[in-house]
Amino acid sequence: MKLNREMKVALFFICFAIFYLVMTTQIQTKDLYSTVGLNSKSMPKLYGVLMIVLGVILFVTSYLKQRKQTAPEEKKPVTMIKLFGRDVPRGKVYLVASILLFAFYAGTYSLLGFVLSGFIYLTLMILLLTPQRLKSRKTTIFTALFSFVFVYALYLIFTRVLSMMLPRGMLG
Amino acid sequence: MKKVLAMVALLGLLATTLSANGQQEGTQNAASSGVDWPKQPINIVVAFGAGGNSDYNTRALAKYLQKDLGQPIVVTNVSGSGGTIGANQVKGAKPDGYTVLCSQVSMNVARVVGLTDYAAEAFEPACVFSQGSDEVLVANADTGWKTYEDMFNATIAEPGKYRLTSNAGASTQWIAVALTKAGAKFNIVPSGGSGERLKLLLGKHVDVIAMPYNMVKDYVDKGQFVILATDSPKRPYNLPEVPTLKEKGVDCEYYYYNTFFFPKGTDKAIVDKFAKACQNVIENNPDYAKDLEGFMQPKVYLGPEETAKYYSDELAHLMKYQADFQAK
Amino acid sequence: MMSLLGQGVLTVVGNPGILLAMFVGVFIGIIFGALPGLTTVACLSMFLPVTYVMSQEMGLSMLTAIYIGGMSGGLVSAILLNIPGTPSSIATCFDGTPMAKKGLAGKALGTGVFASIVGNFIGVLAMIFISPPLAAATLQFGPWENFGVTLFALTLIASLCGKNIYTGLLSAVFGMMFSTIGLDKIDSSQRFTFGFNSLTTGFGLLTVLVGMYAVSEVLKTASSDQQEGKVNEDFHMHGLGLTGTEIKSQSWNLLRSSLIGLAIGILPGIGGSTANIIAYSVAKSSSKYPEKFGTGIIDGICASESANNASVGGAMIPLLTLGIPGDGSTALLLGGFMLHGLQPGPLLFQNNGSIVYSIFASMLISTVMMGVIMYLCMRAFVKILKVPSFILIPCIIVLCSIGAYTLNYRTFDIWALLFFGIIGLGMATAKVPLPPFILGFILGSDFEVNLRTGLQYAASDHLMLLHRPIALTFVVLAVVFLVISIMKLRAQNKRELAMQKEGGGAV
Repeated sequence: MKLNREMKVALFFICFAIFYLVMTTQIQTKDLYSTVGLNSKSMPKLYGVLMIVLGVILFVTSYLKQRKQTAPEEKKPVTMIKLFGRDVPRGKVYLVASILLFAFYAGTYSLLGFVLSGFIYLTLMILLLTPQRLKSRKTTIFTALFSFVFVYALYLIFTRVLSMMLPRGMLG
Repeated sequence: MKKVLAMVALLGLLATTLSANGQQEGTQNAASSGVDWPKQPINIVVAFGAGGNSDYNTRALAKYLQKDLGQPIVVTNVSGSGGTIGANQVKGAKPDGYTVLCSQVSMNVARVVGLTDYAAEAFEPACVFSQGSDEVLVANADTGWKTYEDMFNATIAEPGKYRLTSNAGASTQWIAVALTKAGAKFNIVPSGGSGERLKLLLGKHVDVIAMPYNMVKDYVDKGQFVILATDSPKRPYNLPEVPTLKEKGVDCEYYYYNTFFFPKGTDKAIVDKFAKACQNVIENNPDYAKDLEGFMQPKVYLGPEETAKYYSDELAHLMKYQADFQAK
Repeated sequence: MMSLLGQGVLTVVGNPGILLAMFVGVFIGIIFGALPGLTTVACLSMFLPVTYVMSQEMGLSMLTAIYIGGMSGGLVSAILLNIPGTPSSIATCFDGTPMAKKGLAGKALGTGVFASIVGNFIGVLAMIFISPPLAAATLQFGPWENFGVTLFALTLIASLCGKNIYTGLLSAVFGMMFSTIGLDKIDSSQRFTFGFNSLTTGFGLLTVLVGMYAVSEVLKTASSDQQEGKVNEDFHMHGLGLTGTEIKSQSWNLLRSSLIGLAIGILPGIGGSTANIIAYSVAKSSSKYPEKFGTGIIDGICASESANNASVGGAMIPLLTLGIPGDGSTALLLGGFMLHGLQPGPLLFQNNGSIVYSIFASMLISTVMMGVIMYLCMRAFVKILKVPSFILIPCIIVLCSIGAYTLNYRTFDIWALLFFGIIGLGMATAKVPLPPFILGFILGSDFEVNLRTGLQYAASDHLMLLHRPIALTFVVLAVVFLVISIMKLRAQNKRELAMQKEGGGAV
């Protein structure tokens, strides 16, 4: 049996629901509003079971549909890039890179301060997304300059004009 | 391109370690600069939502306080989970005198309910700077009740018929716990915030609610609501005829004392200077006095030691009922 | 009454200071609404202290002006960037973005602004003229009634599901599951917090929205092969954006959506940010061409934008007449009133009638100002589409992160953005629709809280629901709606099957 997209979705949700239900058992319920009613586990249980039921239905219906019609899923050509001497799909590498970059940003937000970590994030993120044909030393410098001005301007507007606290970081 | 990617990967890995370090660092640095303070803006973290009692009291005071201290005061709201999100944040902040928490009785309730494992002792209490309008138990006039006894007897006559709102993990839970202990037989129901409670009583969905006096004054004046008692420890200055729950043998008494706390380890001189400055505004500033009148609140100030004692006494009192609060 | 209102207008118009404060308020409100991650609530809490120093009329006029501006600004980023500027503009994305992609950005914006103005006027006029009866109606709504409304709103998810109803429903349940994270709103026991204090508040709607729409967009752009990002030069900017015949054809839609927005705005305890989605679903299900929704038609924008703006006037009703704030914005306005020594409630009109009427007047004038500012700025707004996406999107992410951070001043919310960004990307890749998730997330906690509270109210009376006509009506409506949707779906499936058979071997 070949799994199509919908069947994979169904399987994911079924697995997630099982995990969710297992975590539900760990909720410590209270007996505050005692006599009747549902406790804090009731709705999670309902949602979990509902998700499993829907997941199974989705799985079965898409399996039946698949048997009737076997339209092959189109495959788009994938751009590959070389990374550490191996060919890898560019999209995946860029995706992981942008996730890591965001994680770096979130992780250093209060340590480095908004200006510095925002500047690093913005510069690298724009460089990452810039189309190949536009890349040059000049655009890199321009990007860095632009990022700094943008982030610093935001910082000034929010802290001075709107008097909100943004992390200043260790550079003060 | 490859360089950028490699750098990104490296930075991403660094991120987790750095952020972990950052959290530890906050608790260590015990910087103190004596009385040469403040040299930069002070951030007061209000542990409750914007527009609420703690919030507007803090802002009203901060307006005058910053003139006296010579540095701007930035009020931020870090609300949620009974004020514990804001309390946690200030608890972990650098004790340099530039981060202050505003909290109230919720801090002790959170401890009793088990949301936190600390209370005022984990901070340097600075001062109680205002008291939210006295909280009163009100019923819809249609019930025909005039006094606390009318209500109490009605619940005995028909157990479970009358509904009393109480929010788990909030101060109003104390009222429900104590009334039940005293023998009243309510159907205790959950509710949203004070606005939601007001609606429920107006629509007669519930029978008794606890509300700050200023929010129900108009309804009481119009004769739509009846005040049965107050949960303040003493009779309010503007409601001398209203009995306290304590007088009626219900072991529940608290004020919404808005209180400033510094992180543990803050220089004592800073805490004192801040408290003194607050005291000065509260006792001597005519404009502030006018603001308070508008809020229907009395002038209140408790210094650092009195504040610490007030909180530990209240916590000890609440701890007696820990099992009832947690109801596991 | 009219003379009081007239006096109010004179007070406002006769005082250039007030007019200026209102203008600034509307403008700032629009900016905050338009910037994803920054909300009306944030804007109000920032300007609350500023209004201390003003007179009562001026301060309160400015705050309500911000409220009106903020509610309208959200449509800009919803249409131009496919990121709802505020939770109130979620449904504006559904048809606004496709229109912008077709090169009709100007028309979409114009339509949105027009609908906003209509919605605002209907809401504000209802507030001025029929507050008392509406406020009285509000009081009929207890937990069971709220439960009925929420249940009905949940069944509307069926119309947002897209092609496969099961993936749509799974998405909704997924969203409802996320609404259970944090402290249980009834008894405050911890659920799915994994021992983190940060998780006890659960996830904010703002972080979920920004993560799923904005952050996932940056991830999507990064992972897509085409990184060029075509720039549309044609915006179709003419007059109001709508032609006379279009206005005529939309008039019923505008009125119905405004009334829905008004009703949801009035009811405290029902998520005000759902007004736009509910109005959109209702418009779609009662339309003659539901299949066109989501492809870029003005009906969707009209429904969403008139509903969210009408909810402003609606939310002011219980605030002014009863002293009950229904959402975050009105809670802040309540604080603003208190700071100016006014107690909203039954005696406000008697004690401070003149101020109330100048607020009414200023809300009417703010609506006009909002329309003028929006139409004037539209040309500037669409310019944003000329900025290449590889620069624009990262900048928006930085901006969003400020909004998320300042929600509660913690980096946890920035991490949450990434988390929901990844989920959003995963769902988009797997073709699981987002709107049901969002609606499930918003309604999930209302559903649970009202059901459990209702059961506690009922105590031993198990059939309490049956004694509550309003609640019962909504439950019946929900069931009827569900049955109709299922029947429609079946008919549609049959048609598709028939078409496949006709097509025979061609497939």
